[in-house]
Amino acid sequence: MIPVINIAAIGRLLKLGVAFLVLLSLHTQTVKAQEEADPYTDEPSLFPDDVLSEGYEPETYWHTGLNNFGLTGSFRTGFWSSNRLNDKEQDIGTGSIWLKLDKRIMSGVSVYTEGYVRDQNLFGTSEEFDRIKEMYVHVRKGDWDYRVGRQIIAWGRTDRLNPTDNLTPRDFTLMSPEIDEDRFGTEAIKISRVFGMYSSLTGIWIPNFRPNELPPANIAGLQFSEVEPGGSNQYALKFDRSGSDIDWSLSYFTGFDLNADLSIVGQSGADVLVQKQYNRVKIMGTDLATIVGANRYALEVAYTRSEDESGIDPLTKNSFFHSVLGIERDFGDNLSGIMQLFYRYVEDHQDPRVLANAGQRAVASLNALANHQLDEDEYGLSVRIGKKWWNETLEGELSGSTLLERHGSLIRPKLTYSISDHLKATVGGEYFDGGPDTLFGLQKNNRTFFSEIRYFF
Amino acid sequence: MRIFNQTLLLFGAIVLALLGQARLAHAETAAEIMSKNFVISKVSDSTSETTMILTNKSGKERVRKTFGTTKLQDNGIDNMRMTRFLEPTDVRGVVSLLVEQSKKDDDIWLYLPSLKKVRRLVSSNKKDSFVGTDFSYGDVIGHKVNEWEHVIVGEEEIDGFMCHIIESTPVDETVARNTGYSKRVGWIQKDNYVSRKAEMYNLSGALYKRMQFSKIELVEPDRNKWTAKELRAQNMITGHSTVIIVDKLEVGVGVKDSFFTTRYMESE
Repeated sequence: MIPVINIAAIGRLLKLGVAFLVLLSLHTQTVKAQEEADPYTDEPSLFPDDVLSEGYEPETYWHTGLNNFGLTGSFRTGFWSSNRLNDKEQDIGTGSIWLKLDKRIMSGVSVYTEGYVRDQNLFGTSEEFDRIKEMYVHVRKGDWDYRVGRQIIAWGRTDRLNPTDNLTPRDFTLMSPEIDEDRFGTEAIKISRVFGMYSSLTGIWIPNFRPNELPPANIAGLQFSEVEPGGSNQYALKFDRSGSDIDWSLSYFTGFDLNADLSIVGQSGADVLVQKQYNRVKIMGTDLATIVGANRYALEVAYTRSEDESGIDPLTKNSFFHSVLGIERDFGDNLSGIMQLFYRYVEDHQDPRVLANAGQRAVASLNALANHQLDEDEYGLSVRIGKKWWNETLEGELSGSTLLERHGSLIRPKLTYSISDHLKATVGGEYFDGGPDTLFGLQKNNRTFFSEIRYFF
Repeated sequence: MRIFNQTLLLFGAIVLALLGQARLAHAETAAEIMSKNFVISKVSDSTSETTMILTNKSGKERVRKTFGTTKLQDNGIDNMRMTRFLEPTDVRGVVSLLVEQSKKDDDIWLYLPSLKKVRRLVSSNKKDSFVGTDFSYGDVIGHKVNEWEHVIVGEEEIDGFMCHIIESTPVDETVARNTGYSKRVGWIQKDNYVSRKAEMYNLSGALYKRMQFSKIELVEPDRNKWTAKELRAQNMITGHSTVIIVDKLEVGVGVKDSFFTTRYMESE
């Protein structure tokens, strides 16, 4: 089946590009004059002119002009044996165009935008969508940094499991072999002040709220709807020290929980009407990382104060403590491994499975399961082993995670081969296992083999 | 008179012997040569644009372009090095920061745009490939002189310049394991202590890599600092090779400390 291209979305991205072109032309002369006057009053351009020595002629591609302008991207197509929507759909084709514009428009001022248009079901009922992941202006003036616009704010020093990373969301339904590509931004103003070479204090105002996008639960008897908070001012503050023997930070966030709580709002026939609601949280966190010999140690801890401070509402998550302790070792020959222990403690814990009302019991149990609050204590282990071969043209990774008390687990092998500088192929899989009382077990429908080819330009 | 002459002869012999000893004392040892070689390219600061051409055994090329800055720390030995990848697209925006520490392991941070975070890396391992090239991290940073035992084994003319041939072996198993080398042989130009050629042997004792350094220029005359603007390395076992071309180099331009911070790395 021929993929349906989202013309409107491409149009929006093109308009964005044109807008930046106009902006650039307005500033070109100013920048040139400034750089000629004193090129080191600020950082040199990140995109310097090509000056190659004799004897080597660089290849010119159709996209060289775009790249010199700061526009890069990729065409991607893939095959997945299952999607991430927790349904029975199988043998799925994907196609997408990703674009990124990263441009310094004048001394100390740069613009950045990244987005994509994609179809996550080329062979079936088309599932097109587009997203501007980030679009912001960054201004650097002396010891101050200002970043205004839609932006991803990623916190935490442990590997992939980050208790302090609560400001901007992820799209867990995105079918991409690269886990971290599921992040997307929220409109925010971020202001940082650096102190010396190593320390900084960052204040953030997020006037908008975007939640995590999760696979639908698809549970018989429950009908879901969603309500996002309006007038959703959120604030965060972070002190960070990076560059001396130990990297560490202290952070505070007051805003909305990226993960919904489930509330019962009615009945429709035999079905319970469930609404996803995003409640306020206050999160204090800290992280640190250091190197001792051939090992990297990282610790990240956060305490989340929920709206249900006394823990009496079974449909609102309780306050909890979340910590991750990790050790990473470089074994040499491009082989490395990371092992992490994670632990959650839920305050005023009550088992939702003992509730008398059947509807409330079902919803409260699902809420607790989705929010890691089924047990008062939750222990888990994650492992990641990475290896590179043939001058880093072939990269292999085997990662996994398991919950120690309920034995739910996820295993994720992945192999990536760089066919050339512009072409990359990835194959891999995700294998979820566990009972229905584990988050991994609930995602058995998402077990998948995936493959993807990317052409970078 | 005879006694006077004998005394004079004896005195002369002693003076000649002492002078001979003094000359011997001033003959440079291999370690001294390597110490001078270690710092000969450490310019006060620099900015550069570099092209790396990686070629596999069948001749297929991959090309990386970088922008980098260096700055010597206050101790005059340790460098700070920032490298930002400009091409190809899939690594564009990756930034590494290496802060050398002569008295302990170096500090390395890496910014990956996909993670949106700076990550501290383990640095004790120097044998891993530097971004897929045939140079290891140890080769790029420079092998610490006191971690190796050095012996002059000969001399040879390379590209018209007389060179010492110095054989270096690791002082212990840890150094050998961390660098992946059981022996290094270096051709050090006699008049300026610049490396012209090097050969590395793996832990099995087989010839592992051969390196050549050319387009050598005096880039900071007042501090007598030299730099090779073309570096070649070949893996003698796999047949893979790397050429690093310094397209543009500016030295002593007053590079700011702010380049060597995680703040700069995170600037998209």
